[in-house]
Formats: sequence, C-alpha cells, structure tokens
Amino acid sequence: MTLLVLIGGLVALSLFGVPLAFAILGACVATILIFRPGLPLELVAQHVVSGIDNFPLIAVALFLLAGELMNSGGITRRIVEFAATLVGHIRGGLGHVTVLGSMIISGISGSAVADAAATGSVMVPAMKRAGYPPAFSAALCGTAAVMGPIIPPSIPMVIYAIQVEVSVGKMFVAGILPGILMGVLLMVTVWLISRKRDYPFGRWGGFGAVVTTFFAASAALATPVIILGGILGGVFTVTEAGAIACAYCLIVAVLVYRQMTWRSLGEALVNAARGTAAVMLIVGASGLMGWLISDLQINKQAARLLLDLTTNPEAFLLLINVFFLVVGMFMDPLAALIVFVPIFLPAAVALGVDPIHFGLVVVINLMIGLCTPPVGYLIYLMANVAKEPPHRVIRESLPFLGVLLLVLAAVTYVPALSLALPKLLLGG
Amino acid sequence: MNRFETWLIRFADVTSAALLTVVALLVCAQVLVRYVLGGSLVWSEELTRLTFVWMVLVAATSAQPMRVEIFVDMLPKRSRAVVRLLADLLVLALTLLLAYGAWGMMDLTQFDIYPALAISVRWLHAALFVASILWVLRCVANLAARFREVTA
Repeated sequence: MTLLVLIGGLVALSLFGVPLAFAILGACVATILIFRPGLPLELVAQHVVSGIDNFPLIAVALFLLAGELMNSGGITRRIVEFAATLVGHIRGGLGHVTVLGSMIISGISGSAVADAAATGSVMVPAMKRAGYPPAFSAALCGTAAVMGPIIPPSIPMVIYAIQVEVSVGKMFVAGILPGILMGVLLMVTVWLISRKRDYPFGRWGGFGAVVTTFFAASAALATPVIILGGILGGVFTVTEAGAIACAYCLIVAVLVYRQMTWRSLGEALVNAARGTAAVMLIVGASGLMGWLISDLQINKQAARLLLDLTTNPEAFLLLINVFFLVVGMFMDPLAALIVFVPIFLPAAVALGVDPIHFGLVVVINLMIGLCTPPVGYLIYLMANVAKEPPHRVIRESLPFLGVLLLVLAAVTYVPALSLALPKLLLGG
Repeated sequence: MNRFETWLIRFADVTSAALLTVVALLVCAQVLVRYVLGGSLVWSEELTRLTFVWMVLVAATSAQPMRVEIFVDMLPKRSRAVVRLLADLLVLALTLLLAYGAWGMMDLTQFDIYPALAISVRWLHAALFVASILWVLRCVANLAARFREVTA
C-alpha cells in the first residue's frame, strides 16, 4: 500500500510534467501525510540538504566541469586529429575516427552528453565534407557517446557507487572491458556498413604523422592516464581526481593550446553548475525518498514482490533489463538511476547478484536509453547538429543500437566481463 | 521572459559559477597541501561541502529542471496549459514547504558547530532557505505567464 502511494504518486506526478525532483518530494510528502502523520515537516528540508551534503558527490560537478573545459579548450580537436592518423585509412575512415575519438574522450569526461557534443561538433561537419550522409554521422556520434559514462570516469557510476555504498574505483574499473568491447564492435559495424555503401577512406600518413599528432595531442592524452592512474594508485580520491582533471584541462587549454577565453571559461562554469544542480536536486529529493523507503520498509515490499515473480537470477536480470530499457525511453538516465536503484537492489542482492555487476547492467541500460525514441536526448542533440530530421537519425542508429544491446546482453550474462578486472586490479 | 526573471537567472548563474570555482580551488588546494607541503587542511572538507551545497541550490534557480514532457505535449493546447499551471502551483507549494522547513532547521541547528570550521551548522540550512526564496521568486515570475496561457 505504501509502495503504491509512493511510487504511484511519483509516476503520476512526473507524467503530469512536474519536474522530477518535485514529483519525488510531492509523492514523499503525500506518503508522510497519509502513513506517518504528525512527523515534523522540517524533515523534508533536512533530508534534501543532507542528501546533497556529501563529499564524493562533488566529483559529479568537477567531472562535468572537466568535460566543459575539454570542449571549449581545443582538446577535442587534437584528440580527433590523432585518432585520424591512426585509423583514418581503414574503409569508412572518419567513422572509425569518431569511435576511437569518443573512446579517448570518454577517458576525460564522465558524461555521454558532453561526449556527444564534443565529437558531434567536430566529426559531423568533417564527415559531411567527406561525403558521408549527415544522418549516418549523427547516429554514430550519438551512439558512440554511450561509451562516455561506461569508460571511466563516469558520472552515473559515481552516483550509483555512493547510493549503493560500493567503491567508486571498482565501479570505474568494471566499466573498462565493456567500454572497449563497445568500441571494437562499433568499429566492426562501421566497417561492414562502409563496405556495403562504399564509404571513402583516408590515406595512411605513415608512422611519422602518427608520432607528430601524438605529440600535439599528448597533453590532452595524459588526462585519462592522470585520472585513472591517480584513482587506482590511491594517489587521490575520485573527487580530487575531478578537480585535478579540471585544473589540468584548464592549464592545457590556456598554456598549451591557447584557446581559452574568459568568456568560454565563464560559460563552462555556468553550464557545469546548472548541469550539477539539475542532477543534485533529484539526489537531494531522493535522500528523503531513501529514508522513507527504509522507514516504511518499502524496499522489503518491493523485494518480496519481485522475488514472487522470479527467484532465478538470470530471469531477474532479464526483468531488470526490460524494465530499465522502457524507463530509459522516457526518463533521464540519472534520475531513473537515483529513483529506481534503491527499490531493486535488495532483491538483486538477495538473489546473489554482485552490486558492481548490477550497477554496470543498469548504467549501460540507461545510457542506451539516451539513444532511443521518444525521449532519446542524444538523438535530438545530434539531429540538431547535423540538421537532419530525428527519424532519419534514429533509422541510421538501429545497427549501432543493436551492437550496444549485444554488449548489454553480454555484460548481463557474463558477470566476469564487469567483475574480472576490478578483482585483478583492486582485489576482493 | 521578463526583465526580473532575466536578472534573477543572471544572478544565480554568476553566483553559482563563482561558488563552483571556489569548490574546485579548495579541492585542488587539498591535494596540493597534502603532496607538496605534506600537511592537511582540516577545515577544507567541511568548507568544500558547505560551498558545494550553496552552489547546487543557488544554481537550481536557473538550471533547466529534468522532467518528463512527452505526455503533456500530447494534450490539446488548452488542457496542456491547465496541467502546466497545476504543476507549477504544486512546485510553488513544495518550495514554500522547503523554505519553512529550512527555516525550522536553521533554528534547530543554530547551536550545532562544525568541528573544524567552528561556525554554526545553521549556515548549511541557510543555503536551502535562501535558495528556496529564489525559487519562489522564479515560480511567481513564471506563474503570470502560465495564467495568461490558460486564459488565452
């Protein structure tokens, strides 16, 4: 009953277009008034503030800022030029450049949207000049950006790790193999499509060109190494890694590439602050919901309900995948993560699913939701960059979405894909 | 958007950008002090968290809120305007509740002290109070336009 009021209220309010943070608050207030009348309502304000007042969460703001600085500082262009000398000569060259560039950029920013904005603004015009259909390049940039939050650093994984109380470092490392698998399979798909449609390829510029562009991009290429190495080596925490990434991107953009203006710095700060606020408000509201869920034992109700449906871990994970794929079609991935993970996790743990494995399945799933209609944000963003109608971009996305779903299935049913590397590198 | 709203958004943007700069600098300083000077800033974590909470809540005034719009967009024009007005009124009511709650929390925590910063914890809850006042202003500025949509 409490489950029905809380979740039903939340769903109803959000369908009526109430901003999600306030839909959560509204449903919680209604639940408190019905089932726990007499509780002081200061509680609402208290939980919102304490939900945000959390040191590791600051990493989210800092990784968003690093992504913004990377985009306005000319770092993206250097990385793409380097990728072009490496894989530009393969059939469908610029397509491979997009995928490889996305993978490297994923190692700097932790957000799919920042990734898509970065590669999209450089690659879509370049591919158009080279004779690729704009819908194809938009679809590729959008789907390749899904790797952004899978390859570390990753904003959704920071949030998941805090919520579930697992190590952020382990979550990051768990994403490495699935992220690389996505990149490789996307490149295979690009090659197959390019051969069929006779897409062009560039000239192999020789190892000299690779070395030259490598040094031009080396300042930028060092960023992922610093971030991941620093976290894994225990040199600094995830939040500190975010700040170091910001400082490093800024130094590279100002001193090495000389592309940062006061204006673009200000814009980067405002964008990062706004982006953080939009997420953190939901995090704060869900702080209240999390408390209410355990106070009224709603998570136990949900777990019982789910375990009545199935006690087979494989079937359970299939259920989770279908649920999150559908939710991801309508809802922002971070919001969905924050709202639904506390409800499903107890059942997952009861069935012996490792929380790291579960987290990776959910994050990949929700990120794919960024590329699916009707509310696939990346589709619209890229359609806008390419000036193509969204439905054409969606059609061109289908083979790439197929690949992403294949990786999701692999990660779901081969736990080693996500769990082997953290065990190897971090133990336990 | 009227002039008041434009000003409010600009104020929120400039303030939160400045606060975000402070957050980033504080975290960098912490790393620097640890590895270069070999010491630690005991107050830095508390101050960073406090600044972060202020940054987030002030920036929420101008941030585009996440919402599911697809179903509302499917409604006919008139009922869409009504639903949007009701949604905004609910947001306004909840924001007022947050302002009330934050005020109460400021009262309750005025004698709690941050151990390292040695200032009152009411400064933490003041962030939500100040921010919810900003949100109320933004809501009210917005409501005028919503009413016009309904009567149009």
